Amino acid sequence: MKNKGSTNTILLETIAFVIFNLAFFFILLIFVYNSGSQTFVYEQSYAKQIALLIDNAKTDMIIMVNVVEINKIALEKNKPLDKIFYLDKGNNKVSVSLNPSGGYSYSYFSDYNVDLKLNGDWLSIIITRVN
Amino acid sequence: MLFNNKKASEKLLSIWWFFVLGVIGGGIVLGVFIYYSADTAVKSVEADILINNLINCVSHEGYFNDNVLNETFNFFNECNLNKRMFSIGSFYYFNVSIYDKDYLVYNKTGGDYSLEADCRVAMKIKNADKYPGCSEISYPLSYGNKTLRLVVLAGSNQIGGKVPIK
Repeated sequence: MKNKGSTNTILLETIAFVIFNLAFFFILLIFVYNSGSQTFVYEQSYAKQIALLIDNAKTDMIIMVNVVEINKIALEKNKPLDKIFYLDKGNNKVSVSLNPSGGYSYSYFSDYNVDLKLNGDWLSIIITRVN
Repeated sequence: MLFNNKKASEKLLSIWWFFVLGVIGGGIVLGVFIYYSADTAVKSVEADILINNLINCVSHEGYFNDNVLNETFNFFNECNLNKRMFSIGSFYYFNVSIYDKDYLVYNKTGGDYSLEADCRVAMKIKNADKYPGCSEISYPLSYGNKTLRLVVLAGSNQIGGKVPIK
């Protein structure tokens, strides 16, 4: 028959074991959940998508891109919506940024005059001929 | 005190249990990092788009444009391509050839010439991730009362990258 001290130790250890396990899996869940909103993936996919749309466009065309997902993340990250998409016309580059430190950029090879305009959840890519 | 009771600690909070937790946690973290570090490869799509642009400006409804074979035909102006993006050391390359049977009657290239050899290799092997994305197309087109063969090769080696935003 076990004494009272031994029973208490086993009970204490069982509680500690359960708490350790719960804490461990809770931390893992938080990590996986936070990884799901990795900004780098969104920056990369939107920059490439916009660059490819510009290259595939014809002159005097307006292409509308739904940006509701990236807007949602920008709001979570306190990033002003008008600062997400940036066009470097001198170097033919599209940049998408969800972080204050920087973003992801991708080049396009077409020689069009391109403008980006954000209207709510839609980004307009306006393609006109270079004068 | 908690770990001094050998019998109990062997059952629950043993070093092996922490090892198991470490392996599970490490595996999940590694998996997540591998998943999110994967690159979205669009180099082949870019090459296809470049080929489409070139074909659209040299041909129309199955016919060559009249001035294509003219030496003054400027691919960059006619095809709306930015000449700066096709300089030596750039990410892009194209080669437009026109054959009369087996005789090369016209050839025009643009971009980084070193990509052509890489493209030849990349089109032969599977999973050539480090090579440029390339496409080649060949088909007959009418020119006056002749039928010539248009061969267009295009490649892109653009990776993109992180940039500081001002």
